[in-house]
Amino acid sequence: MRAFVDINIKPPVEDKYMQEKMANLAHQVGLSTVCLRFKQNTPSNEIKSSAKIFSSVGLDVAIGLDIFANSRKQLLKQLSTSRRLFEILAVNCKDVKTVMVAAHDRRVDLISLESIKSIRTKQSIIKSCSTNIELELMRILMPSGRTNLEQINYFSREIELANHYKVNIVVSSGAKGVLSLRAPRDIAALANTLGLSKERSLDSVSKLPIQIIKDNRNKLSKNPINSS
Amino acid sequence: MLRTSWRYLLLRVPSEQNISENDLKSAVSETIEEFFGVIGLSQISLRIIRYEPSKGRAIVRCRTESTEMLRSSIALLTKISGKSGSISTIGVSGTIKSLKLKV
Repeated sequence: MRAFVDINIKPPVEDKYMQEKMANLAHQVGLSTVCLRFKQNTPSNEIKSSAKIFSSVGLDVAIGLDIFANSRKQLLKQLSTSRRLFEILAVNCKDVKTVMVAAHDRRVDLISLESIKSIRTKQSIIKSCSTNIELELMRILMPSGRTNLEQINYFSREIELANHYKVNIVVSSGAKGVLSLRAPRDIAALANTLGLSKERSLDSVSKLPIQIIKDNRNKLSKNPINSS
Repeated sequence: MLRTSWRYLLLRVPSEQNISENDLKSAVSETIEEFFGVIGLSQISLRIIRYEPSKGRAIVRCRTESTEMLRSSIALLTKISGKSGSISTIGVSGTIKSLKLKV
């Protein structure tokens, strides 16, 4: 039986009631592991408190960091300080050169191409990418500036490119609240509809993220998480 | 004539919003129509079998071959009767009897 993971849940740290609701729903929809993703400089007590809420319902909790870097230098600095503290490092940059650096860096687990608008640029990044591409469902559900249709188009083009260049895709909800949390098989069904094969779409919400978390936990086993 | 094969989906519907059966059906149907068109809607042959608003659960039926379409439409649903809302699939089964075991 498959174990399912949502590798991108952004818990509202200031709202514990909402976090409890999210945790219960995550358990109800069949998730066994969740990766709670935080921004840089989130206080460690808030990270621990969120992790406690989600683990109290029986979920395996991993902690991740979202890196928004404006330059190569900033990215490398954040990677060197955060790699040993978090189980997942995800990069989302607007600058193409910075994304290129992230795509080649072994310390990066996931890169998001949300901010890259040009398909040609996406292609050149995916073509030489040695890390996993992350697709957030939130991009379609609550698009920032662009319409759903355009976002669905970008989504399916990224899937097409990743299929062509045999790059791994991880699909996540990117949920910031209970309304945007979705069942993993529903997310996989959507990825399947948008061009990912049935087996790969199921792997993108189960085997692949599990493997990433497992590998990173092995690497971090001598350095327990204690966020700054 | 070939016998139609059905799949039954157990859905979690937000219970605090007082959603009627018609609201639920129209929200799901509208999302399917928006993303797959009228042909997609007719292929899915959506039908609400049971709906318990107090428990926030519904059982819907669709054609087996269109299950993925229905599930992806459910993932894309963001509004129910004009208000923000979401639906999640809790289980899928070939019979209502076995679906009840998942509750």
